[in-house]
Amino acid sequence: MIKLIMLTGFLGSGKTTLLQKLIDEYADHKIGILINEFGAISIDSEIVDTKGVQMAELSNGSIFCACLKDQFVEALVELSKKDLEYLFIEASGLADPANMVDILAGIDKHLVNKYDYTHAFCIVDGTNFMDLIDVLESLRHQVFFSDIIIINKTDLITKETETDIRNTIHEINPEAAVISASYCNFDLVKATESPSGLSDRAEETTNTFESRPQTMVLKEKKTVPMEELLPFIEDIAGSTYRIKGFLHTDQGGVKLDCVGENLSIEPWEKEIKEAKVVLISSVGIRLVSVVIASMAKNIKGSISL
Amino acid sequence: MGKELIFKTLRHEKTDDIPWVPFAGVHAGKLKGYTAQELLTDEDKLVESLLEVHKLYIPDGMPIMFDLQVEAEIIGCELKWAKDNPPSVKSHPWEGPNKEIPCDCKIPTEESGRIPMILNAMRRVKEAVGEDTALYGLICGPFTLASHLRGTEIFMDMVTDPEYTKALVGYCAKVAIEMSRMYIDAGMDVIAVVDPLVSQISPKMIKKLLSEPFKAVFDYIRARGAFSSFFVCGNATKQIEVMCEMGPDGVSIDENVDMPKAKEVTDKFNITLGGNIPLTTTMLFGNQEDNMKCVVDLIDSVREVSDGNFIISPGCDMPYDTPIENTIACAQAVKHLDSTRELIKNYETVIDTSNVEIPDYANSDKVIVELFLLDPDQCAACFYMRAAVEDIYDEIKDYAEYRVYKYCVKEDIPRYVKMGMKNLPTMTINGEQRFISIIPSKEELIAAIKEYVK
Repeated sequence: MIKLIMLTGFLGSGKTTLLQKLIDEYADHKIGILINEFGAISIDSEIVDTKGVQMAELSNGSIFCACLKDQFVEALVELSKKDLEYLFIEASGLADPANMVDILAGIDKHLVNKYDYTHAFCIVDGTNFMDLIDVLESLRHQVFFSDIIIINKTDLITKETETDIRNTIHEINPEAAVISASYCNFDLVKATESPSGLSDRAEETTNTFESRPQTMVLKEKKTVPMEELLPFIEDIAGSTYRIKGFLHTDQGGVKLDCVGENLSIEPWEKEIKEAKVVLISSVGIRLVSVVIASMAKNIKGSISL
Repeated sequence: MGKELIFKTLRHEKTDDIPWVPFAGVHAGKLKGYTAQELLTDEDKLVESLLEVHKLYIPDGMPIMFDLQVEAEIIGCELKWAKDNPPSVKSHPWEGPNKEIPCDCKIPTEESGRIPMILNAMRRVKEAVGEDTALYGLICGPFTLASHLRGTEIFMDMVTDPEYTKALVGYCAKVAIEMSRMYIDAGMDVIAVVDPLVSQISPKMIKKLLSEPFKAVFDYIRARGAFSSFFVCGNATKQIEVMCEMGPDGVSIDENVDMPKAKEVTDKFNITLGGNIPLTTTMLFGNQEDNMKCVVDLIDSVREVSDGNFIISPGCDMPYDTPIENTIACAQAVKHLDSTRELIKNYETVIDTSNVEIPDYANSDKVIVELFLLDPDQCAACFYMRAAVEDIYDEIKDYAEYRVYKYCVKEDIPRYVKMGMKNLPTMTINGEQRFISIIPSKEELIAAIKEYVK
């Protein structure tokens, strides 16, 4: 049996950080990873250190949406042939895992080693959860179909907000364990000790046309001056759910991560294989016009469409 | 140089001459004896034919391929091929009660469907004549593509489910952006976003549902350093203003729109106007004098409004069988305007309507619905207007019948004149013009027909 652990959570909530922690924690075990990115190009696979780990990647959609389900199923079957103890799946930020149990049941006879759906983590971003929960049905489903819910970034919110979030989570999923954390710091081993009861839950996924957002990729042409990049990102952030990527700037390599209006730019010492930025739109196809207008105003040839 | 003349015109600069862009789509095949299907599927035949267009018609700009079904075919529509027309869409895989959006994985890439062939042809024509001729890459506009995928239900969706319509058209705009990217990379100077069906939608609805996705496409093309042109067919008189607001460099219209009036609108936005030599009456069935006179009159009428910002071209894709000498006559008239004006100054075009029999509507047992179309296999608006009637025929056949006339059939043309048709497609009920350039929804059409039941 391969123990399957699912990681869900909205864009920018901290899934990749948690995945890295899980990899470190289970370093002595044989593990496999399946990463699902929404953009056409994967960014997260660059971040996760994959030494000695079996890894599969599925981009350009949600693994639970019909558009990627076939590939997801194939990847699960392929990975079941490997000698693994654990498989971690990092679902895209907009994934709706409602039909995960059905998927596993449907492919059961094709699996070489069976999967034991052990845990589903849902990481919620304390800074925006209360704003998003009424807007995004997939987020509500992520909370409902998980057994361990991490309220992340509690260092950035008040106690009252944290209590509101706990209450809301409890209303949606009273059986889940709820853990507060910042930077995904919590006792992983303890959290994963209890049984999950996940196999009882199955429902139609909400990953249909309405929840499928527009993505866009920008490529670096030459070193990006920070004085051009910052006003550009500020300008377009309001039209995105997420901006994420790596660039060479006049201040060195950076990892760029912007959730809503909250921008984080960190130095990136490692090699950048593909310098690009993935944008996930909150305004549909109009993002194309917003980005082009802002590029004309702020960027002088260092980034292109 | 022709290419520079097109560029200057699309940059809205002053020019001494008027640029000429013959839209030889399937007609290019005729020049070399190839069928439409051969032309649109075989790279060598396409390139050979396009070089012949370049040689015979001395164009300042020319399209590589005029086929609005390339994208739909890749995404999953079945096509019906013809010898002398572009293919038409036979199936609409996204019709029916399950409103879904196609998968992003179906968006065309350099490897999909006929794209590799088209891109190669573009590169070869660019190499051969691209130095002096502006090359046009034609893509299917987002709304027409949405209707290919969804069928006539899209017209009802606009009213009953605007969110779904927006999502579907948004998807089609992503397709349009990808197509533009590939065509610009292959050397196209101008991307023509061809969306014949836009003329069928009210300006209010266009603003609400279509403006954003179209603007994204035009913004993308401009950001990539290419020019854009928005082609529409049908009576787009009321729509030209909202089309201009979306920000293309040019707008191109067919014979359904009065050119000087359109020029007044495009001038307000400083946008280049293209058009509109009548495809059938003049280019297909007229003689050389008709074509020369038409070009001269057209240029003179537009110049009365203002100079510049104008490209002369056929109203849309030229009919396959357009006599070669007629197109040459148009080219000659554009290039030698003053001498041509002198040559045809006493020439008059006459259409004899004496043999046309009008049905006896008052004494007919059944209501008579008549469709006055261009070529429904080539004109998307005509195709969908005919489909609107065909779709309800089982429900109305006890009390109504319908007849289809085509402007591409020479014998039908006098009927259009006698019935006073100003715009196509038009649907009449018992001789009354009820739907002019507008495709009614099922409910609307049945209600209109019932008004005439005795």
